[in-house]
Amino acid sequence: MNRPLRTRPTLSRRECLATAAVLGSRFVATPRACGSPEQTPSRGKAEHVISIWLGGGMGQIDTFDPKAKGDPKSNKPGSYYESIDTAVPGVRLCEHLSRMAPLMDRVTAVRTVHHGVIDEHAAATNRMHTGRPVSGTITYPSIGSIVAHERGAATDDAPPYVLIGYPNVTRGPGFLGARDGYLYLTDTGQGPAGLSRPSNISEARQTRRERFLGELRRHAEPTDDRRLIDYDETIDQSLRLSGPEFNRAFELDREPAGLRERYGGEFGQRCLLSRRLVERGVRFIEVSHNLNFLNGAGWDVHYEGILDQHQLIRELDVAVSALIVDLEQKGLLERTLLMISTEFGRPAGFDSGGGRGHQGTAFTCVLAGGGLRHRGAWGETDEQSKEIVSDPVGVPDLFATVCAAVGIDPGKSLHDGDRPVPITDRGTPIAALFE
Amino acid sequence: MWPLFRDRCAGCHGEKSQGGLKLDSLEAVLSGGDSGVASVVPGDPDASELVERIRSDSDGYRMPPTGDPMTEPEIAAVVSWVADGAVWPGTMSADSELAVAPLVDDASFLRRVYLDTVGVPPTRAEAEAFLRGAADEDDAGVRDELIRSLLDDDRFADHWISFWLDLLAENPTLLNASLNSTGPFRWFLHDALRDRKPLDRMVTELILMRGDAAAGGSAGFGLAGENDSPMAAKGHIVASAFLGIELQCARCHDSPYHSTTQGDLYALAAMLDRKPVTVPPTSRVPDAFFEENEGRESLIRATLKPDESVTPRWPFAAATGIDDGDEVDALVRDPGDSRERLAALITAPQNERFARVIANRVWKRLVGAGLVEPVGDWEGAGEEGKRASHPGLLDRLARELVTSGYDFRHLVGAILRSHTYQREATGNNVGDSPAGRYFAAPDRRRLSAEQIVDSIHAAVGEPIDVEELTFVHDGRRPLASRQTLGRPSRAWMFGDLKNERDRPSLSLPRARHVVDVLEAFGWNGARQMPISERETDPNVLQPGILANGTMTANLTRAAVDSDLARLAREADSARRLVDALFLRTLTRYPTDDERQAFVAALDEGFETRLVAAEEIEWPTPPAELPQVTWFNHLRPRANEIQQALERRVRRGPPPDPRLDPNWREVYEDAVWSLINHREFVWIP
Repeated sequence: MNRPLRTRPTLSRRECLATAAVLGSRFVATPRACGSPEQTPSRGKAEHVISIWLGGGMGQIDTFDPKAKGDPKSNKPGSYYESIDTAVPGVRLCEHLSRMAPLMDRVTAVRTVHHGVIDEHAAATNRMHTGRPVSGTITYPSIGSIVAHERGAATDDAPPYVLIGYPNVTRGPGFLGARDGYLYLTDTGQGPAGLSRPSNISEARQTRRERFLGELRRHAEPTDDRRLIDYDETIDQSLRLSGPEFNRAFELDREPAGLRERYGGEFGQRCLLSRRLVERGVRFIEVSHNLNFLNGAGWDVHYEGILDQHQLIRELDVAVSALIVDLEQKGLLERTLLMISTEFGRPAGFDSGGGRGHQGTAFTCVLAGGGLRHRGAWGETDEQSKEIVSDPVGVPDLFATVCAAVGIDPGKSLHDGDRPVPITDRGTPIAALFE
Repeated sequence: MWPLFRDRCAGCHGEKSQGGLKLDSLEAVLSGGDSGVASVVPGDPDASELVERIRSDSDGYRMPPTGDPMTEPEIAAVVSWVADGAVWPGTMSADSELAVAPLVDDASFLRRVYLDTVGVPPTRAEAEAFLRGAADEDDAGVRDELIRSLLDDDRFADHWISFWLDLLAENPTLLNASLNSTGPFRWFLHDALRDRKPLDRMVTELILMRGDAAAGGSAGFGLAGENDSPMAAKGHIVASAFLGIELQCARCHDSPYHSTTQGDLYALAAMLDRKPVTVPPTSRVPDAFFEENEGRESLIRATLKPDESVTPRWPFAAATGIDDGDEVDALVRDPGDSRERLAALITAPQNERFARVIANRVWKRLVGAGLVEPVGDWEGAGEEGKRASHPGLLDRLARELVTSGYDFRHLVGAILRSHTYQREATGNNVGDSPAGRYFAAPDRRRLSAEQIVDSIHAAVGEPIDVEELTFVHDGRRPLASRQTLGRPSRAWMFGDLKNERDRPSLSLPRARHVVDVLEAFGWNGARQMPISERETDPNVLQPGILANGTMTANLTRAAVDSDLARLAREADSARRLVDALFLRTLTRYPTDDERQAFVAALDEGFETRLVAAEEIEWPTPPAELPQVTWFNHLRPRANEIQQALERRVRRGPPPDPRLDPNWREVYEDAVWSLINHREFVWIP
């Protein structure tokens, strides 16, 4: 026994046996060590998470936590738009979320999320992906990597974690290591980087390439070095995964034209792709709503960036409502937790250009589906959506809610070497959603 | 049993001997601890407390007390070891581990030593010249001569800088400071390495943190974006990198598995800060933690009181052999400057630790396993005196470094010239106990991410071609908030491309495809923490990104103006062409079997591969796209431009129209296969 034993904490033993084939043989060459049985209270029954990320900072007061209308011209604080009734009595939304409104009984707008990071997008984005302040001694994993680590992929031949958006260290696995990292893509016309073949490589060329490679491998000196054998195995896995079978999941034109239209533009197509990936067995998908074509600034609506903010909101409304209905019709909504999150919110007051600055002390993230007992909204802010009035939800609490929803014990610890690291920063799930 | 005990038990039952119990020799195991009960009864697992404890379901009784319980296979291994009589060492080393491996052949040596010095394989001409010379002459002489010339090569800095960037957690950011970001002190380091600055001087200048933090001076090392105690972060880095003392735990509490305390780290931080420091509130263990853990003695203790002021103090006299006293006054310009004193205490020749830690780290880089493991945490390696597998060799290497005037390249050269380095890489030293690490053969090493990227470019004969890593091209904003890392010509020059606002207009499409390859192979531009050793487990993205990624797709094309196309046009036979491809990519000639297969494929159509002059259709280069910058990136058109650029990059350069497309594609596929071969990414 002259190789170090792997002692990484992973799945429960039973899960491990069930999924060893997936992770062990397909996505990593070294098999995972199985922990012994761990009592995980399975509070939620969700199997997948689709996390919609609104980079830039979605203004809660202009979307899911509307208040009395303000006026940028006279510098009167308040919402930019009118608000409308929804399926849940007493819960109102901004007028541009008209398709979400009738679906709010499947949704909870968590209106009292808060943290202390204000002025730096990267820092706040990190907080909203790792659920913790930056530490001097440890790089924390993202929530996507945590879920990937705890649950693995749901089926054979699927990766556990896919990012539809620009790759970023804040979405990464931190101390958990590369095996819990993401595959990413930035264009729904393409599969993930590294596992989709360049478009100019025909099947015939690929066959010829593999024939050349086969000659080299056949004539290579035989080895009993585990490191080389493991690497050779990953070559085989990658050739298999970049084949047509896995990449079919990314072919959106297999969907009915009417459905594709209902999802809307590129962002909607990303949402549609996320549903296909859920069907495929991907455990966690982050969909970035990054298209700042509509108003220049995306959600970061300083100054005149706010003028066309309503177009962004409508785009979100169209895509997410289509996703909820589609998931429901396919029987997937109960098993799939949707989360809309963002790095911070925006204040009721206006800046000198009529736009809005940043606000981390109270903002909204949205949960939908996933078998939770939804209530339209949770938590209350004051008349300017600035101070939290009741039921504050810290970022760790939001993360604990996500963990619990997908059956991960939010009280357990991960391990960075010897060091136990609570899976969330001592968060507590929102109990009302599990009653 | 050693690897298992080391990984799961030795933190407490090694040097620390919790409960009086050590598990680092058979005698210690049989004697038991304070309880006086033998932890193991040879031949009787059920009577052995150690077995009972690792099997236990009770959180208060089970060992190890933290972390996951041992796995079934681990428990089974212990049980069968005890049942078989608890023989220690478990089995005598197999003959194969003791048999000294033969020296590698000339071609393998050539590839290995190029990669280990200048970070790229030799050119075809360099390879041919060396192999010709080596065939005629005395091996050792030719090899020593090659080592000498490579140590003098400026590219030595381009390879070895990555070692320092990782150790020192260089983490520059193109936009706002955050997530432990530093200044780009890569430029200070690269100058020092290229100029062959003595190591003691380089480290002194680093610790003094001088110059412009944003413009590349060593002051950039002193920054830590968003960190609640930057100097504690730097103290952690300095202690691990230069002294092999791991203070990660000491940030918030005394180290549970080490003798170091929280006070040691903050004393070091105070030396760096030149004034007393306190533990920031965000680096304290919440009281609730201790309350919750009642019932079982907590493994951790925090000996510093909240708000206790910690004054500058050198905490490592015992570990290093140098005390902070009068003799240090003679080594510094300002005896009252605690930062200067720290630099002197680390780099003075009386500090026996520094040179040995560096020598051990370099040995590991070149041979695949340290004489002391783990290289950044010597206390974790066990008792003083038993730590190194070869203490005499370690001392000798340290002396080479000190007596050469701290010449880093001299140290590298001393190892490269050794037979140990030059043997076939069939060893497996890294997982063994010090007593089991014979170094009869070096360990097999994979190319680093940077070596892979640089080697692919070298093999196809193309420079790295990416945009400048910046969003402000004209200096209109201060570097401290809008940085430029320049236009990389070697892989180490890349940095984190985080696009936090998720805007296409803030993407860098050309650089992205290179960074994809770097990241797949374990490089990380966002070094939030020092990296002593990179993760090396294989994963599917590694061969995937080489097989399908845009970087290799474009580089393996016989494109207009490419060196690959020139090579194909000018070749006088398919056989010579195949030899050239093997030499460029794998630094060796093909075997007869390989040659036969590749020549057969390229021979077909070889004579007619050149398109007749009148039939050549030159592609029209696409119009230049406007420059997207920080200042125009909010315009929707900026997104469209960067997305158009992304599509162009993905499409790649047009193929050379002078080559017949059918033949050219066979040729390109042959090149692709060589780069995707296992042999390309493993050092021979």
